[in-house]
Amino acid sequence: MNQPNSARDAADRADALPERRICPLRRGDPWSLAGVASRPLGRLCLALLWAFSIDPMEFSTFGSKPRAQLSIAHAQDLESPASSIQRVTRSRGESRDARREPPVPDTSKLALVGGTLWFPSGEVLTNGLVVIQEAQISYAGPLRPIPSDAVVVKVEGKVLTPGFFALETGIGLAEISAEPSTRDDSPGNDEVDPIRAAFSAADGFNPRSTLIPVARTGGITVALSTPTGGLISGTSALTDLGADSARILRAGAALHVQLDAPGLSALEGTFPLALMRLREALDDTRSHVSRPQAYEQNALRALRTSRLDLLCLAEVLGKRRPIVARVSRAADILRIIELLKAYGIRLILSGAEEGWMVADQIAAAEVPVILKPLTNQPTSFRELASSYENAARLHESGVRLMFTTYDAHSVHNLRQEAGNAIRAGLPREVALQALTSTPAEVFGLEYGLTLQRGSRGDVAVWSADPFEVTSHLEQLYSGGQRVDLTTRQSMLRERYRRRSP
Amino acid sequence: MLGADRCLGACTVFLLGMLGASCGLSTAAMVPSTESSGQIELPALPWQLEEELPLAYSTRTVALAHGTMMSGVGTIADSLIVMRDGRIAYAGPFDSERLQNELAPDGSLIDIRGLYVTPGLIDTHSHMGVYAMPQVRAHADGNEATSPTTPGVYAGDSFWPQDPALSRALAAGVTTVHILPGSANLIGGRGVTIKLQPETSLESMRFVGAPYSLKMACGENPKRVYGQRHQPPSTRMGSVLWTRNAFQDALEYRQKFLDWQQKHRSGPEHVDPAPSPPTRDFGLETLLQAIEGAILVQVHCYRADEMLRMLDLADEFGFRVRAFHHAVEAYKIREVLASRHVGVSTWFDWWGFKAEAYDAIFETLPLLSEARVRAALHSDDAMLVQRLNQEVAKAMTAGRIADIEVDREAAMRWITADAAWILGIEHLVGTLEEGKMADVTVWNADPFSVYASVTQVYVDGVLAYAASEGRRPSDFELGQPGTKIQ
Repeated sequence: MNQPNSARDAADRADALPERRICPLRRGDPWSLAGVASRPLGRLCLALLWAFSIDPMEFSTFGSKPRAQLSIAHAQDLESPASSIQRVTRSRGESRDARREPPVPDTSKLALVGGTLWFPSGEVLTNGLVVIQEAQISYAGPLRPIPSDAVVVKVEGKVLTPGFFALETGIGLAEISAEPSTRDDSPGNDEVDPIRAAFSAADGFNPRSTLIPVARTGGITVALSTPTGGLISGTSALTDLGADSARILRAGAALHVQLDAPGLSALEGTFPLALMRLREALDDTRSHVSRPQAYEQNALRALRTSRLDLLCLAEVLGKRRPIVARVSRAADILRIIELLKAYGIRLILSGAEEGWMVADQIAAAEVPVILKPLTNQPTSFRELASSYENAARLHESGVRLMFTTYDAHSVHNLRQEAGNAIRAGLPREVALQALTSTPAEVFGLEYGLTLQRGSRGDVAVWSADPFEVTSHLEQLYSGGQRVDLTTRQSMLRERYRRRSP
Repeated sequence: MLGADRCLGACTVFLLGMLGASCGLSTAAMVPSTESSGQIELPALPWQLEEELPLAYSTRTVALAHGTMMSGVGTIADSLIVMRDGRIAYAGPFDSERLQNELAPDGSLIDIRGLYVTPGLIDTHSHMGVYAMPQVRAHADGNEATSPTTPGVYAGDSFWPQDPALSRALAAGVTTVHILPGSANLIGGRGVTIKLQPETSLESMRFVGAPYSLKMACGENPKRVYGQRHQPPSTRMGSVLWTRNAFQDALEYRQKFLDWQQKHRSGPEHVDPAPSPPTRDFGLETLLQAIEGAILVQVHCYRADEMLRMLDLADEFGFRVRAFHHAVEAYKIREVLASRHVGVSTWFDWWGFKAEAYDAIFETLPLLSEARVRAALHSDDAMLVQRLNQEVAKAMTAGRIADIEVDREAAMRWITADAAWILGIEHLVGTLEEGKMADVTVWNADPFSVYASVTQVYVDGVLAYAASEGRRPSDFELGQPGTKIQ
């Protein structure tokens, strides 16, 4: 994403990227209120729902789906109005689209035997057993008799953790950072309105990206694929990187707002201007939410915010979708907390380079923080107090932490980021939580990443301490399936090991 | 403390030496010599400089005893390092007799039992000081992107010693850094090697005795920067042509001076007054210094085919490429690089940020070492320079997983001895050996661990950083939020 890529190479800093091709504004998340309401029959359905006082968002949240659907793609292939009708006429427990492929029944059992289990709770158990069944962990604890029908994998002396959760990443949205034609993480055109709440990363997510296998080698099994640019960049997609094919778990997972120095610079604006536009969009949304019919009949005052954006922002105002705000300076952090609290919006801070200076206020506001531990420089005047100790100090004040690399190509280094947070004083179990259970809870990942019974069957098998730079990933399981760790890079390596000119 | 006890006299000589060297000329060389011992001595050509020798310092003796020494040639569990007068007086197994003999009465003995000690780390590719923090417009001094060939500019002239990134690199155990112009231009200008002791001018940070470098670039950056402006080069073939043109201009410029020199030989006898020399061109003189081997050619180049093309071009004009930088495809041509003694300066795992970086693999450094190519891990980044130790540990581990033979010593050399070779200072720094400069880093744990932090850094035998005292903030940082008062 912006910051690391611009630092990659000196010439890039002096010159902007080539002009981008103009792309049409894409349709929003089809499951979302905005997506459904964007179609005529969808609007009819919404009207019916309102008539029966049913919250339409109940149908858009993954959490209410039956568990068997874990293995099928959501928020995809739901183009026809008919499917919208089906969804509202079926009862919640059995709402499945008949057109979609049935899920492959997974009855296999996998037993990982003899490893050292690092639970995000902080507990460490040597000589443990993990059994994964039907994509979920059915047992994790001391060794005991192994089910006779289980496939047994011996992992003695290895460290087992849940799969890791990568946040604020362009994974699946960008192939080559400097080539706009390979990117789908933004409208691709700077002229587009900086307010584009309805821009949905799910529409651009490419499960066949060559970056995904590389991410897996870092133990990553789940990602929040996140759009970039603008003031309101759009919504991210919660994605399962899978064993051999990645898929979207939930479109529209969070709405992303850019208020740090690179964001403001791209906006060619200032922090007050950004807040002014944000306030305007939220006020427009309030007006719209209070009288949606009047808006549709052109009986409401003129709103500057576009219709699709209003529908997306309505979900944010209703606390059904959080805002992830990228913000650095201590004063800016307090300001955005105050503003979004006034609108009753669920906030997650990202970056928060000077967060440690206002850690108590962040903790009091119960705002979780996504950060990059390897950040300690005054890169801009908005992050003069940037410090390696940021994570440790925020934790001491009681702030919930999550980690990111802020890029797409290097998410495999997430564990190194965590290791450096530990070096700077963060307790090890908190670093593990920051990569697993905390983001799973904050972003509503079904079944979570806890390594305990009931958790997703995402397990990483490490040669030793996963945060150590001399350790490596030996095996990875996603939903109980063994992940092939071959990458395009490893294929190149093998080709040139044999033949060198 | 922090360089203050460095001998003042030495610094003065050092500065005087710089005045001539910094602009790449010596006025004395321009004065035609007179007859001596019956022969007419030809005037030295203006770009032909004498080699600078590092100065002698007077520093107190410091002995580091009982640490685990990782020098890039082996590990010694119970070691002794004695530093005196800016140099290493002894480095090897702990020896109490040696300690008694070496430690002067005013010297200090520091017990570093349980700690690790390595040579000061070397970063072969950095833009600290020329793209300084904070990244405001005023600090963008790394690319003279007004012409695709600007060999006459010098990164040292852009360097801001108050860049807050510098003290962070020092606190991460780095003592020597190669500062380069950016890669917007085919020929970006001259680079300079510095030491990281905090000072207020480039001249007092410059690594005396280190050759200058010539920064060149091929591939995407120059053609993007100029192509966007509808100026040449806009293609790779254009880049090669404009690079060739520049070197051809240099050869012709040299010929003009040789012709003048020829005329001058007969001048005192036949010509009156003596012919005036051709107009100076500092850029072409820099290229001639590269051709004559006085400064080292460092080429930013990613793709294997482009590196080979650049080697052809080097042959054509008679210069040597000291190292390819970034060079993410170097693994594809490692045997060519080994046979031609061309070094490689690269990352561990940066990839995919542009098309020419798409084929980067994570085992490049182990494969290069296996093929006996001199390879270094560089940062090119003010964050990455703060964890060179972690990056080489990762690269070593990646090699081992792929069954490529790579040991801890080879990995350490990627940021010490082999990096020093790429900068032409392997005889001065990069190992812990008697007679080398006393640039030493002490760690609280195995430096190949993510949990290791630096406890002390010595530059030229002087304590430049101590974790107990904290990092010295630059002038810029004083009074800023988050900066401790020091």
